[in-house]
Amino acid sequence: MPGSKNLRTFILVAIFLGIITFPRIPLNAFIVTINAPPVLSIIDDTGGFLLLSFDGFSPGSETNVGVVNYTIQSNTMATGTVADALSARLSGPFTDIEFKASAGSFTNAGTPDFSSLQSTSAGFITIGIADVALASKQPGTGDGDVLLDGTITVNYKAVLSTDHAAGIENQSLIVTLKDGQ
Amino acid sequence: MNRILQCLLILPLALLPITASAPAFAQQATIAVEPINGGFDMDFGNVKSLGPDGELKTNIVTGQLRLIITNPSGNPYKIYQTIYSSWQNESGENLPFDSVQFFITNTKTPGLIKVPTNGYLQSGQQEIFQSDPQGDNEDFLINYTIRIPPEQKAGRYRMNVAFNVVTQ
Amino acid sequence: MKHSSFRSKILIASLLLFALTLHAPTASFGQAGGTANQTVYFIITIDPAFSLELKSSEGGNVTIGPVLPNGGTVLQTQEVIIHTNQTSPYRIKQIVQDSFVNERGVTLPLSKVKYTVTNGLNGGSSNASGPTQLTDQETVIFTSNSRGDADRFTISYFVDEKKIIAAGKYHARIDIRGERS
Repeated sequence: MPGSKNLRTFILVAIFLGIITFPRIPLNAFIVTINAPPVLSIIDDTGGFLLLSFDGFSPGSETNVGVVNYTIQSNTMATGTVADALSARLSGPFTDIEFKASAGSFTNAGTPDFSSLQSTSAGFITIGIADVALASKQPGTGDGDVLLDGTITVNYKAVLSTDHAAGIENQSLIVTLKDGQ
Repeated sequence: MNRILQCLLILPLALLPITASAPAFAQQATIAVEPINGGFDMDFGNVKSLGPDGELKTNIVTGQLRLIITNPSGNPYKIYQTIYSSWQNESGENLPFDSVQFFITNTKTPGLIKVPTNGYLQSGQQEIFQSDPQGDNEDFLINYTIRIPPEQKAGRYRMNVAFNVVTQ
Repeated sequence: MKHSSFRSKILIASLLLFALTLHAPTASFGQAGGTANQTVYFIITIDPAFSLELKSSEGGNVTIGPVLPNGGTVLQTQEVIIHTNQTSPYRIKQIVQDSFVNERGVTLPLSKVKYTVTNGLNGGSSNASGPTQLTDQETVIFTSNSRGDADRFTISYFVDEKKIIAAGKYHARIDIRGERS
């Protein structure tokens, strides 16, 4: 190729004279880590107390319906369906009183690919001292399947099973969010 | 006979003025300057002011220049080191004179070294040596030490340094 | 008579010559104020150097977190220090190698991670003064001053995520490179 010998000579001479320098290419690499810790959070809006009052003393008398809104957030849900994602139990039994709950619909605060909660039954179910599932986790899509972010309403009431004397009974209601892992 | 004798007497008289105005050049002092490492330039080579990982370098380089003075005149003389520019690279960056120290060694005569043992390079004409009263020939070394300032700009720094011998 | 006139002429001529030479400049024992010069070039070559130094609170790497839902902006910085002894302008580029992937293989889109760059302390200017999304393209993030002086600047990386992201530690490698403008 004409001219290539001259070019080669030029390059060799230029290197010899230090005109073309070959400094080390400065390259610095580092790792960026984004740390998203696991979150499994359920917060109610009762302020710690739910007061239910009977309208009578005979069997079948019912209390008012107490409405509790729960704010749910999790970034660590198991994929697919989690049957007992939202469950409830009492710390101890009420005497001759059936305590009942009914989960409402879930309002998604995330993007449409997030998962959701779905009530396990249409009507009220009885809550005892063993965990009872109120709502299941329904799968989201893609990366959203492990995410849950929204609010769900649960209605509570009590029903007398026999005649009951006047008075106040207290129990703790433990509502648990499970990630299914 | 008398005439020949008279001519012989007059001839030297006539020749005397001619010899008295012999050319001056053979009596001039001369100076030769030789870098000890050879060559014509005082080349201190390549040096780093910044390391490959950004570490500051305070490198020191040295060099020696040999000065040879011949002086047939018999008159005393002085030697000057003269610099009329800064030590600059191709981008106009200066290497400051306070980076360069020098001292004189290996003199052969009782002449006076006129610079301190670690004086700095100076701009202008600087007297560095004064001969003995007879102006004897000399042959000595100038030792230069350069402390490269850290992060001194890269490039090829060049300046002209003159050495003058001036006879009295 | 003839001899004496010839002798006289020679004597007068030589005396005249002698008188003339007395006024001529004599250099018989060294000329007063005579000089001799010798010049020499002083040369020294300082080698070019250019390198980058990264300084984060973790000794080079950057961890952003904990990233929590509604936890606000979480930010971490990386200082870039340019060491140079050259007088040519340069620019600094950033490139993200790989996506952010956590230990379960979940990917965090690059668009969810943003950065800003400060101006240099020595006259260099930022190419990302406002929040800029990370991309997988090589991007100029900083430009030196016109002299190409050494400088330093800070990159702030942040996740401004109001929605929750799946739990985990997401890692990506970021390269920072310098080149002549």
